[in-house]
Amino acid sequence: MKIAIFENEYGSVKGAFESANFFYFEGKLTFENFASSQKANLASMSNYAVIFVDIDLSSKSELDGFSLIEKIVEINSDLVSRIVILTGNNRIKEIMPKNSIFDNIEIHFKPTDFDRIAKSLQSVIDSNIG
Amino acid sequence: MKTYLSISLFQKRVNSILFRLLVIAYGIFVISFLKENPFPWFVYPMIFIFYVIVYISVLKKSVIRLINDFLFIFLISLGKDPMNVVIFCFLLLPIYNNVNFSGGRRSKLLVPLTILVFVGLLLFYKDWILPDYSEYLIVLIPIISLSFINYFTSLRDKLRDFRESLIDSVDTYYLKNIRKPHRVYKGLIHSLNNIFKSKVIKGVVCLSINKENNEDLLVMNSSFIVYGIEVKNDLVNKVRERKVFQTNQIDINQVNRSCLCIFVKVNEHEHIYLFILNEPIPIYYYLIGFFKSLYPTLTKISNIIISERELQEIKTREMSRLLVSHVYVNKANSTMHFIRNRLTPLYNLVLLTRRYKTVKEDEMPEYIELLNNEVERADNELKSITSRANSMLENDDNPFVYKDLKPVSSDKIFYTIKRLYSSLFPYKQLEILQSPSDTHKRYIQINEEGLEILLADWLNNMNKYSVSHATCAVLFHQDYLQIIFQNDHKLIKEDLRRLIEDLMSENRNEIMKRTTRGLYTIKSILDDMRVKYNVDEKENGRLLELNLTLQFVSDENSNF
Repeated sequence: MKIAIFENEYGSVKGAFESANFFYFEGKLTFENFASSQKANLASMSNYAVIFVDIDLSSKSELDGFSLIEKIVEINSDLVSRIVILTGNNRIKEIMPKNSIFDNIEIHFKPTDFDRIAKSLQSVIDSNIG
Repeated sequence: MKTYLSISLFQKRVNSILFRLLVIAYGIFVISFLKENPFPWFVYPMIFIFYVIVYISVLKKSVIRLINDFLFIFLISLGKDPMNVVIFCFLLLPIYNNVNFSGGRRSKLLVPLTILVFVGLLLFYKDWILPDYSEYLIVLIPIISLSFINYFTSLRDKLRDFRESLIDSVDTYYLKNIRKPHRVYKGLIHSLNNIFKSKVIKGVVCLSINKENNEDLLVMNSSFIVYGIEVKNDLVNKVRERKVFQTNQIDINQVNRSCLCIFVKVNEHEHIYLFILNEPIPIYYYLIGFFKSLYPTLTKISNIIISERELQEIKTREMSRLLVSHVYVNKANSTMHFIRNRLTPLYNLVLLTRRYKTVKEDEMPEYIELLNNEVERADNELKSITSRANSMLENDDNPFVYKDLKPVSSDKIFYTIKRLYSSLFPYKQLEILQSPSDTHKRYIQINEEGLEILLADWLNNMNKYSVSHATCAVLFHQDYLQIIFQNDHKLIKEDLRRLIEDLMSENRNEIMKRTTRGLYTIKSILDDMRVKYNVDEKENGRLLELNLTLQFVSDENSNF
């Protein structure tokens, strides 16, 4: 099962993802990191079971993260349920663009650990299978 | 109504009554001493009564009042020689009284009515036989001369009223248009056009002469928007030399304008006021030096412009000072975010370690590798967190530290306390328990901004939490200034004890954890400024007391 992670500082969360894979998914997950949205083929996002999108603190990349999500959903609206926002900004809801697609997207706050990552992964996988 | 106008109007009314009393007295004299009275004696009291009744009933109609005056003079003087000096002077009384006139139409009627009454009296006296008129033309000379004098006197009064109205219109600015200095011209233009009786003045522009480059003129403000101004000749030197002159060598918004230029100097500021003219100003106004009457008003406007500019400058300086604090707070905020974002490997490492016992034997090598990798990452993150925190803490750019102390005079500190105390407790008096023993100047090493924040903060708290007792007392000792704040409170004994303990504690971090940010600020500032202080309870816990001791130093380089 492939997991996409849009995160420019992947190093800080890599261990949590790998440990989650080890403890909860028997090593069956493969992670693919995209340091920027340009590096990914957005048309092939349906190949990933879960898509983590990091939304940074600086306003420019916030828009980047949000617009990346908007673009992914624009290409394939079904993917909205596979997206998890990864952020260190606890006031993210205040800066979120007014778009109904963000209403149901899970927000995962940093700092995190593998238990919480596994929980997010599981809930997205379950909701898509169910 | 404007004050000066109401005073003037009241004065005119009193003068009007006095004038009628004089006319009546004069009339009594005329009928008593000049015996050629054509009417029976009882008619005269009736004339007097009629005159008074008409005067009272037409108080507000100046023309009828004037006709009433002339009718009275005519009836009383009837049958007497109008060339008699007493009668002739009687006839001239309304012209003398002209200064008190309020209506324009009335002034125009004055000379014809005087002449008419004179002719009437003359004809009656001469038994309706037409005399040789050339003999009597001479009386026109005093009548017309007096009218001229009256005209100029009333003009002088008008100018005085005008000056007052100008000052009034500038003063109104402070009440209505503060921060919009260009609006001050509206009243000025209105008053000027009123005096010229036509729209002579179209607009006003205030220019400032740039001290560094004399050719350079800056538009300070104007009654309309000025996009560009071009001065053709050497206006600056001309206006400096002549103070007031008219020119048509100025283009405003690319239109050639005829302007009256007036030069005003306030301290080192040189301003030129351009009055844009629709039509030339009557020469008379130049002759009487009319424009000098504008100086006080224009100087006042210049002062307004200068102080508005200074306020703007202060605002800009404050803004840039605020910006430094803003940058610092943002930097501190982003450092905290940075640190929090870097904590994931540490959280993860803790959890990995905790799960050690759940790992199966055959999975152990993979687990160890995971663990080792995470230890590496956690180690790296710890280093970057520490270095970021160090750079934030070690940089000496915290604008909220008040360690920079300067000698400030005790008088200035006293006024600061007084100002802050009276602004928060407007109905209370600052207590001076001990005044300075001599006039010798004393200085205190302090950070003024820190002291201001500290005092404002403490007084604010007193205002907020006191119930009925809040005092501030100042004592000038030989070597130090003591300030004592006391207030009652609603705290229970335990909370009061803790509050005092926190304020007196050496450990700032403990306070940070336990109490509010306000207390932390107060304590930090006190410690930054190395001020000796004591916080204690008084009257068995009813009152909370803060006692500041500000030590005097011997330094004359104070900024007071």
